[in-house]
Amino acid sequence: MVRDNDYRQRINPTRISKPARPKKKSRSKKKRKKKGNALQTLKQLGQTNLPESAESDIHCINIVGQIEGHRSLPPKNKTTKYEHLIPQLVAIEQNDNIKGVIMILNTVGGDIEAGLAISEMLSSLSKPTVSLVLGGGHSIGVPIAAATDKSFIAETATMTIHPIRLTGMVIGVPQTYDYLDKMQDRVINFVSSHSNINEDNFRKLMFQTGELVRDVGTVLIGQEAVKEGVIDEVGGLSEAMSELRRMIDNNEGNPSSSIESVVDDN
Amino acid sequence: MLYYSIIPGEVIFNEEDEEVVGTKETDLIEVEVNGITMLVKQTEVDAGEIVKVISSNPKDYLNLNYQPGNVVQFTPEFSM
Repeated sequence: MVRDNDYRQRINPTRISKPARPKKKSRSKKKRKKKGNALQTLKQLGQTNLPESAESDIHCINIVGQIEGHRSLPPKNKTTKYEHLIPQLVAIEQNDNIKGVIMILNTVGGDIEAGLAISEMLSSLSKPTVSLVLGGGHSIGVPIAAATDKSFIAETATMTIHPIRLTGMVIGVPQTYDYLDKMQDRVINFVSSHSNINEDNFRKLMFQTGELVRDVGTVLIGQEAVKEGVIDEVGGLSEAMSELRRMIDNNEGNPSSSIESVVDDN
Repeated sequence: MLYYSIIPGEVIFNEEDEEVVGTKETDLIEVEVNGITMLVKQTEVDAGEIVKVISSNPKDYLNLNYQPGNVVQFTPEFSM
């Protein structure tokens, strides 16, 4: 437990007299529990108290690593599971106390069906949605970012757009290419209908040569993604949140026209 | 099945590396405590350490009782 030792060194000795040790059994149950939590939090996070916040009407969905769908990936992969996200989105749609969703993306791609399913869920959600690409939103992360009402990308974040590759048994027949082309079309159609880039330009980016070392495709960094029309704006957390807040206020102000305005955005 | 990822397939599905016991995600149990889904590493028969909280509500991540590393108790139950 290298991490524990590291934290212990950083703790001010006047705040804690002895390093963590098994709790004494003599204390009353309630008191013991409270102290245990504070000590555990101190050990794990280096602080005892976390800020209390009021009930949030904005929910946040975080997508990291690989998007895991039909198959569990080997343990070395960090994954976001499709079966965790879908019920959350359904709950958000049903809960009247939740007014909007922010998607935080930092993904390397993943299962194409799961990714498209999440994208479709997001684009059909009746509440305002905003996405923020941090670090990277590659491959299948692109349609997810585009699926929301408004998308943001951090200045340093990247998005890689490349052709779909086949893993496993590949038969060298023309049908294989046709199949891949069809699968690619699903992604291209979704992105072009949910963002400002058109089909031909997106296809061009996908098959660009000379950009990537070992692959065909394009890397878009921050502003470039906005220029190409894949993403709406460059910004960070505060920009994304204030935009979401603005959309929520708009929604509440005139609920009858809210659906039209969302459609217009797309 | 199709993967659309910048990580090559052979890297994603590479399983040959040695695995440290207890770090595998499959060793963790997924439980729901007071409506919050979390991944728990079982440390005793009736207790486990929280590894990760899975929720869309940002407030759940600030709950002092459910910080990663904290211990949750559960009751083993007989059904006959």
